Amino acid sequence: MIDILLFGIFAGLLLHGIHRKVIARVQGRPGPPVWQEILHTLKFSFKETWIPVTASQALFVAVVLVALGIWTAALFVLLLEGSLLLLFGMYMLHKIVEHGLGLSSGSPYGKFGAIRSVISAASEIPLFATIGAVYLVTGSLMISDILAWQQVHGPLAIAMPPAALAMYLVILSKVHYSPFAIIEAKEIVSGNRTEHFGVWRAGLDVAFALKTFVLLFAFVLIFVGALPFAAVLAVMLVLLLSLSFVCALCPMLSPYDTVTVQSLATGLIAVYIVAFGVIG
Amino acid sequence: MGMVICGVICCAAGALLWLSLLEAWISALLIVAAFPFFVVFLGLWWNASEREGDIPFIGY
Repeated sequence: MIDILLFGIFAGLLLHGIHRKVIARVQGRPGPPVWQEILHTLKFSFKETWIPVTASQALFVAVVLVALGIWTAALFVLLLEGSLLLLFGMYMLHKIVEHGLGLSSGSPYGKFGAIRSVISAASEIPLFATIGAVYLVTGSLMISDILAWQQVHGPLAIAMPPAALAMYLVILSKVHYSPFAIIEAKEIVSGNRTEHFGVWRAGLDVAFALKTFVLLFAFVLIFVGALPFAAVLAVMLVLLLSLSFVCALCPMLSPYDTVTVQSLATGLIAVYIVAFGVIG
Repeated sequence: MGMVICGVICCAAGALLWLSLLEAWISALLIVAAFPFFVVFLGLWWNASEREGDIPFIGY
């Protein structure tokens, strides 16, 4: 179990590196080497570290530990084929991490990021559409049951494409350089992570790498089904490449446009699911 | 010291699960509790230095 955890962290960091590289290539830049994010994390962990005097000291440190804890737990929920509700409960805790990161720092840029994280709650709404759709089709929210259903009926992405699209939107909202990444937009420096540097930033990089790995892994398990591990990694990579293309080609939206687009997309998916539930 | 304890807990939880001496969920619980502290303690152990906090950049 610990071996998969370590693998997930390195794979997640590598996926972040590939993401940056693809975005750069699409935009006609050479971009950093794909292992840059691994080096970044190591670099931050070696740097001088302190807690800003304006920060809430306990929250400033605790939020890093919570970020690491929830994504480690989320990975184990996937590996043990537990409940989808538990997985998405951890995803919702990530919202508290985003909020706590910004508010704990005592920096106006961090606070702007925290406030934007509240505005961007719309990015979590597609999750409910996903959960509802998965339950309507498979009759269970246990990942083991969902995998068993797909072995009989084929991938859920084919049975219910809008639900897969909703989950895709959720992942797109959470990747770096996303058109919806308003909490870390450059006009507010690094947003809610502005004051977390040194060891704290290294811890966050590890947690967020795990987050990317877990979300892509969850998408494959929920919508494609049980595959050999190498095939799972290959599908995750293809999924990430598609996300990178979207991030490279779409400008970052303003906070209100972000909420509008996410709410509209969720509304359309919700209408489809309600119609599916009533008519189907 | 904290880093060593957390590292030992993580390794022991993994090893005991591998030897089927521990339930998977107990192993997961131990790692979820210990791993975050291990990462932070590891960084604080090998980082360049620690010093008193500074006032963050609050704009021009």
